[in-house]
Amino acid sequence: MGKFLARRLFTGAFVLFVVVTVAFLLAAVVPSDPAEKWVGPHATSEQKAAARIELGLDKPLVVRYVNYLVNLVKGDMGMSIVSHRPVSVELAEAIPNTLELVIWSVALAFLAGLFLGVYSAYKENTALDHFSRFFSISIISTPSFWLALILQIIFSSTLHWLPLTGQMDTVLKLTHPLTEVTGLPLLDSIITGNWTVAGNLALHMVLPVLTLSSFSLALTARMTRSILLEVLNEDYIRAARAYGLKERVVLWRHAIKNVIGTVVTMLALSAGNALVNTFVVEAVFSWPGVGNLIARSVMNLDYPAIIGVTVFAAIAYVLLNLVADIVIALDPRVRLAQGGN
Amino acid sequence: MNILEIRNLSVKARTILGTASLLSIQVLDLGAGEILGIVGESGSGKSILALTIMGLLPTNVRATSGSVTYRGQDLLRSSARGLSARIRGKEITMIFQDPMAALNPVFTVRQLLEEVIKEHHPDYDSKRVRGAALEMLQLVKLGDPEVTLQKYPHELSGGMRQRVLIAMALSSGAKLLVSDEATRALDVTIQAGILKLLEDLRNKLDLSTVFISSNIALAATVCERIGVLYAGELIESGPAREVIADSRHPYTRSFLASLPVPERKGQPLPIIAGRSPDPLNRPRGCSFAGRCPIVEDRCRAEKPPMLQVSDGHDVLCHKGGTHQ
Amino acid sequence: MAVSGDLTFQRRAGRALESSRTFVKLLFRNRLTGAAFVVVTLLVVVALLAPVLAPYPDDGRGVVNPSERFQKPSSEHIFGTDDMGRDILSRVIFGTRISLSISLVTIVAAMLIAIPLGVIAGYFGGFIDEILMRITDVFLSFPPLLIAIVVASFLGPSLENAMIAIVIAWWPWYSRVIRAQVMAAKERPYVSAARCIGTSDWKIMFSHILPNTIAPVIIQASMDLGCVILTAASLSFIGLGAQPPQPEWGLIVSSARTYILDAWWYSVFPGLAILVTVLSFNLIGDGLREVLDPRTRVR
Repeated sequence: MGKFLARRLFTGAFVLFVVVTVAFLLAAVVPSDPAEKWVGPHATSEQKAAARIELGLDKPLVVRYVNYLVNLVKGDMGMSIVSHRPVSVELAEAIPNTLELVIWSVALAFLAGLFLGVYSAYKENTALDHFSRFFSISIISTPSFWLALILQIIFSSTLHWLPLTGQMDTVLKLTHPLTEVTGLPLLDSIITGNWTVAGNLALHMVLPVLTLSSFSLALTARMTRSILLEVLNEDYIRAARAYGLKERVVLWRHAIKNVIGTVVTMLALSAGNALVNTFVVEAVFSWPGVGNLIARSVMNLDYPAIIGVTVFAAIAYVLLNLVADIVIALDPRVRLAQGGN
Repeated sequence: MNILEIRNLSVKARTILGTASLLSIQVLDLGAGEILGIVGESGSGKSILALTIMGLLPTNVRATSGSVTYRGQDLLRSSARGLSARIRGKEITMIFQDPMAALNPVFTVRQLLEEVIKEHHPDYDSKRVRGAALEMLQLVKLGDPEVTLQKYPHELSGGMRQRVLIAMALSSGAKLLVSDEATRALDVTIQAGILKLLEDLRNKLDLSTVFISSNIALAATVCERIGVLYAGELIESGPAREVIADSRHPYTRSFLASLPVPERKGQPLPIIAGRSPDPLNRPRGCSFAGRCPIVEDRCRAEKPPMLQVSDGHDVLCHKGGTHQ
Repeated sequence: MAVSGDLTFQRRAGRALESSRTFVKLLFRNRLTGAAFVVVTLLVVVALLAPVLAPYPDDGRGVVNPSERFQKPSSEHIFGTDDMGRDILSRVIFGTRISLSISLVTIVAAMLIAIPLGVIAGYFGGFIDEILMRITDVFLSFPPLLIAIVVASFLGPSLENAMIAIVIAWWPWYSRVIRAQVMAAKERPYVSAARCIGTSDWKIMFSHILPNTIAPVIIQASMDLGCVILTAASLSFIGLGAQPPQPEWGLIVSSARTYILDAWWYSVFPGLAILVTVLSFNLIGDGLREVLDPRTRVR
């Protein structure tokens, strides 16, 4: 187990290193001059030259690369060319907002997806199963950005139930300022008992969370169904029934316990999907998260920020993969396959 | 007095290629306290028979006609819920050919065993459940029951797993045991131990047993009566000694002739040429006609009748009993 | 699965599948798969005949009509018109060409990269194989959409760059599949036989092994067509793919974003086109999987 984890950690570090290197090199070779963007279109050539020195662009590529790595380890990712603020600060502001969306989406996707998948498998080939399968595959085929717009059209512009965009009403920032505890806005507002803000945040989160969770929900349902169908055909399920256990116990204890390991690794996958979809969906909802940050950086060819987001995404995925690996390694059957305890 | 009676049973599977006929049995009885052997090659429908009795057929397989009667109650007619509440698990139980596959890998022996005991004795407190679990492990002659309780199935040997499974199967105090090739996956010496255990338990607990096996010689030593399945049909049944010594169906004879015996040392084993018929496309006449050494025209044209050879010895063959 | 292992009729069903006629018959037995095939065929026809079928071919090509802005869906403009007064139905019809060709071109390109690499790595093993595996490890750690977004944002926004990004995100998956197939195939007797009579490695790889291993990759690729369309649309939506005035579906939905309060039809119909197309490809993929997977065959 320890050896296994060490190997996975090493692979993760290797992946991170490759991503950082490739991102840095790509940014260095693209035909765009960061110094020119830094000082703006009306700058003199002296100002440009000064900016080149300020940004360290006058040094050879190797030196810049080593500097970048050293700074990165210290948590410094350079300055955003657009906002002239440190990328690390911008990321630190954006990550909690994205994280909160992802957490709620994954929770919803997991619970609803598991439920749907279990009933679909249990009622195999009934109308409910057919409906649930068609629903899942339709959701998987729906572009998330379009789903976001459809939800906006229905719930905001037609029914006026939910706000169209944004994270919270701006006026509340002045009337009910939020004390920062964990950095996650909704959690903080609940901890500090700031219910006005909590309610407002929650209302704003409904549509983004629904959009983000839809894909993972459908995927979890499909996966759960197919794994559970396999498990339900195992002899130990027949045995549980043969020894008179109630259907409820057979399904939710004996079958689910054998499915849950795989479905939990699905959680990591779901979180990954939700995360990448925030890149698309946050733009629709003007959500001040990482997705919005990369959209802005891409529009302005703000390479330090693009590399920053890339590194953040790489770290997030390496961590998610690691979690999935650990869950798999904890399964008693895998321990068996690796030769007992 | 018969504890189990099967009449005109037909089991069919819906597949994407059409409907497959898996089992068709005209008459099969099991007396109280009796051991009935069911033998046949793989694919002959032995496991389907076990699952039909248990009411555990896969979703695409269904008993389309006939009856399986346990102590006067038709198991095929009772609703699924009623069956599991009253009979399956309580009165009828089953052991499987691969105990590793039949023991849920994520639970310990204790969790598995105590769960079944609690199900059947909801009035027991946890101490009494624990005691009953130990008792069951002693009953199946597992050494060191305290230690065994803490283990996961994969930490046990094959023979121990099968004993644990038998303990689970019998925790409910069932009276009818369906044993589906319970010794197939075991070494010969361990196999003998399990057979001995089943024999002991039968006397101790007054069990009736359906003993399914692909080994006709083994079945003959264990069972009082034997039924031979071929392509889903019960082609011969009768007292074990009679079916072995005076078999009337050409398939039973070929089956016996293909066994290795010391007297024929050095000679090649005779094999049965051909293949058993496609379940999706059963022949119009006798299922064995394609491979039968004494086939006649009418065998191919019409289904053979069930003929009585002697009292309790029946054969499904146009020429049943007439040829020697 | 010990008990069901006895159900030999399942194996028979498998054997019957070896004939391709049974295969096609089984595939179309599922009515949804059949319907999906019809839809995809229609889409291909629409793409080929776009200039003939579109009611306003010029609008499809991007000509603006300021006087016709934001017309509601009507008999004249079935899907309504956009902010430039263009007929949305015509734009969606022309968009079929873009989406179908993106998916086909990128998948084929990804296979052209993946197949030689996978075959060489699987056949020679050792160091070459190790390198390929480590590279694909990095790619497989991330969802393809993320890789495509990152690569496209470095390459700069254009349809061609988006396609390159998709190819880069997709080839490692096929490389893995083909490598595994080749590793299994090189142990087969016909390969040893070819080696015995002195056939060269290249000849063995590409004329003996490849034809016997390519089917799973092609099947995988056909299942991915829908996903590629979705990825391309997402890239265009965030501005990294097609550029105005190209009638790419994701881009149309993106332009419609500003007007969702007043012109719902602007975003709804192009998005629906993506949904129907991707759904059809995914249903075909599911149908293929169902027929090819021995476990689901019984049903």
